[in-house]
Amino acid sequence: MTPRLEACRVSFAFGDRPVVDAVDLTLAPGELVGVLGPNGSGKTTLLRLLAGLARPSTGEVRLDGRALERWPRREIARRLAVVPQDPRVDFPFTALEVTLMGRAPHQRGLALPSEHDLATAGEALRLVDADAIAGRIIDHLSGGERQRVFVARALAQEPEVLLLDEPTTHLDLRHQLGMHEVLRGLCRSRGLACVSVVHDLNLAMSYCDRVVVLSAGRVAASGPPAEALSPDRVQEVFGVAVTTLTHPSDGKPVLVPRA
Amino acid sequence: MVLGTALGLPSARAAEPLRIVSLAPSTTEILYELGLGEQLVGTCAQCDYPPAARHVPRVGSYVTPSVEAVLAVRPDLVIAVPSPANRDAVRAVERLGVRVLVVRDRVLADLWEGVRALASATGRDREGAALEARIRSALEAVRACVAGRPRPRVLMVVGRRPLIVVGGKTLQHELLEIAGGTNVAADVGAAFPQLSLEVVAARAPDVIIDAAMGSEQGSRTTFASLPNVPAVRDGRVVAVDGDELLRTGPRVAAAAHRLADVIHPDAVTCR
Amino acid sequence: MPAVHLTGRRLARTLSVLAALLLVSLVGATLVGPVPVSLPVALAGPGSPDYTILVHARVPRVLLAAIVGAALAGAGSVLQGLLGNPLADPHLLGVSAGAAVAGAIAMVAGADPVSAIVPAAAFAGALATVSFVYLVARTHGRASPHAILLVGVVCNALAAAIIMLVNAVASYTQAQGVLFWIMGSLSSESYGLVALAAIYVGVGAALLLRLAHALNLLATGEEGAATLGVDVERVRRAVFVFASLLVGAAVSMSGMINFVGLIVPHLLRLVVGPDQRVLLPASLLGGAVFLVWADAAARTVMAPTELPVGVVTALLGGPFFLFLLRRSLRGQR
Repeated sequence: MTPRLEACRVSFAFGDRPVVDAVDLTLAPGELVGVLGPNGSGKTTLLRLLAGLARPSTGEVRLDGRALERWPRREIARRLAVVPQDPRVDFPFTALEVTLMGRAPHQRGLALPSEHDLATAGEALRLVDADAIAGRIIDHLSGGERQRVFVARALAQEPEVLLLDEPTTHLDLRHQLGMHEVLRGLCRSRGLACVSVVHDLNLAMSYCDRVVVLSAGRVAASGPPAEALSPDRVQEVFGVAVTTLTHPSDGKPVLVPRA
Repeated sequence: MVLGTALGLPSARAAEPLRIVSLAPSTTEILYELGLGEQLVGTCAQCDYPPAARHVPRVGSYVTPSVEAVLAVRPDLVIAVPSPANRDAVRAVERLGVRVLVVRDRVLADLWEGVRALASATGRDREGAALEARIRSALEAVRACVAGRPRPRVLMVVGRRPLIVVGGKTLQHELLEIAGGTNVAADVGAAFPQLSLEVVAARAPDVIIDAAMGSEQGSRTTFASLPNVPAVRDGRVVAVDGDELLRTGPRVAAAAHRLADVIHPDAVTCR
Repeated sequence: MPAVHLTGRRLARTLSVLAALLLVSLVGATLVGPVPVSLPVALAGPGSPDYTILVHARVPRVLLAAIVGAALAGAGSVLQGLLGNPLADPHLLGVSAGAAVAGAIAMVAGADPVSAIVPAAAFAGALATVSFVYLVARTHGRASPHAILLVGVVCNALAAAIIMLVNAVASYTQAQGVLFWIMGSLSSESYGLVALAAIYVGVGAALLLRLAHALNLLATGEEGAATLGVDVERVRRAVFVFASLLVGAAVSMSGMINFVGLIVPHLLRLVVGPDQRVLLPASLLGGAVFLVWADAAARTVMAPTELPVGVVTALLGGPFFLFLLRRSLRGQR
């Protein structure tokens, strides 16, 4: 089966400094892939390459088997949505208006929202537990609330591929878990394919089908999280000594820093 | 020597003729009429009358004279007329010890005062008095030749877009009145107010004197939308060259005469 | 879910109200002026001075004020959106400066200020400046709003210097003429010009309206917009060019009129919200209303003398702008 999204030995350099170095990544429908790594390891840059926001210096990114460069921008937007790390809004739009912006790739002309647009946006806001704040001005929301609205916007695009850059950094614990539950649910039920940059190793353990661990722009490990995030690997990449414990409820591995 | 002249000591006929710089076209003309053309060592760039003045070294423009150029010709006396931007330059020249005489040019009374002051400063009182008398009698002649005639309503325009006209309290207004016209904008107060076209329509001038910069075509276009104004209807919009009309100098009588020709074309006594 | 977003109905309602306001203003302002005019007398027939004043002096002027006001406010609205700054003014782009310089040079070179040459030269200057600003600001195929703004500011400074230079070498009367031309005047006699201007601004407004939604998307960042399918560079360039052409035409016809492009969209945003699909058309209509009344005040307040309309908008707009600035600095919206 053709992977939804595929990065084939992509590299990206700032001047002569390589930020992403010969990275391979495949994403199949229904998969939730986590991208992890220490600060400066090239995670955000990789995500931007996958989104087509930056052009790789070598290698290629393919969407549904075709190189991203060959896709018209609007067509990409109908299939691929991105949640940026720290989104800003210049003007006082409401949360609903921001979410409705996600419908743009499917609209024409003046783009006044149709019944379907409103329903999709509403559903997206509900999924991220933001329907109560739909009418609030986006600047007045907390960092976490704003982050959720932008996830809603991406979901409103009805994408097949969803790329998220640290979507839960500002979220409280309940919403962090909630968000990933929702993402995993969508992957299972709608075949959504997700790549999510995360910091929290245990979140990755619990929710990701596969992880890609980056170190200095290169893939240091890749595969199911239990294997890719072995204590040795974590020590090597993150420079932190950890122990693996087993979660009493579901038997999944949990990483704990050694004292 | 420099200190002496800065103290403003009256100079009788000096052993050496005074070196004079004139920073305005009007005062240049007055100086030539006083017979001081030979003593002119520097003039403004716009000083173009009489023709001889064009050969005098230029020391800057009427609006912005050059302090260095003025000093370079070593003047004993500098004549200046207040202009929007020349105050600093003139002050600078004065501070450096050169005698400066400031002459105003707004109304006719300024002209008499200017002639007298120039004459006195250069020891040409006799010539000054004669010049003043000449100009006055020429103006009287104009006044006389239109005396007793009905006074048409006149509007004098100095800018077309926006429309700038001659108000009361100006030399041009006085010349208009001497020439036998009634200035429709006399009550407006400001010297050169901006008027809207509808005010022109309402005041219905019989004659419009267009002294604004621009072409004949432009003149026609400006007033084309007021076909019912008497001046436009009767074809009495007349373009007049600005230089004579706008200079408070010896040619004011000629300007008044020109105006009288336009306002009272049928006044035989004015020929 | 009671939430606020733009519906077709809200759009129609807002624009109808503003259109009605404009209509009332057009009629009302035509009856205001330094000379009292009687409508019944004027309507009775072409002979009376009332008719002449109304038809030849007032109506074309009111119409031109509406058109120029619409152009300036419309350009202001999209530029505030493009630059992400609710306090941006269209004259910041430098286009007005280019038009002013070209017009000034034409006048000093001998063109009759009343002829069509001066506005045509000014417009050519505007076009040249638009290209110049865009090309200088463009690096790696992109022109960021930040760069455009900086180049525009420099253009303004340059143009001011050139105009002073031109005035210094020109004769005194020419310099005065240039100054007055730049200060702005809406007195226009020709219905032909008014019609031409109306078509031009109408086309410009329609072109901008098609970009309104893309502008909304740009408010969440250029990458955010790109991921929603917007061709960011193309949209930015188009908005910049069309808005500049509107401003350039306005300045060519009627000189520098400040604050309309700043105040009107800013005020309207507080009422109708930041969505350009409603804010842009609202600004067009609102700008027309504002300038129509500002011009009515300019010709009436100190009757029979007329104030340059730019003075009225500056006196109205300046303090108001300071008030808005204080509010925004203090953190209110």
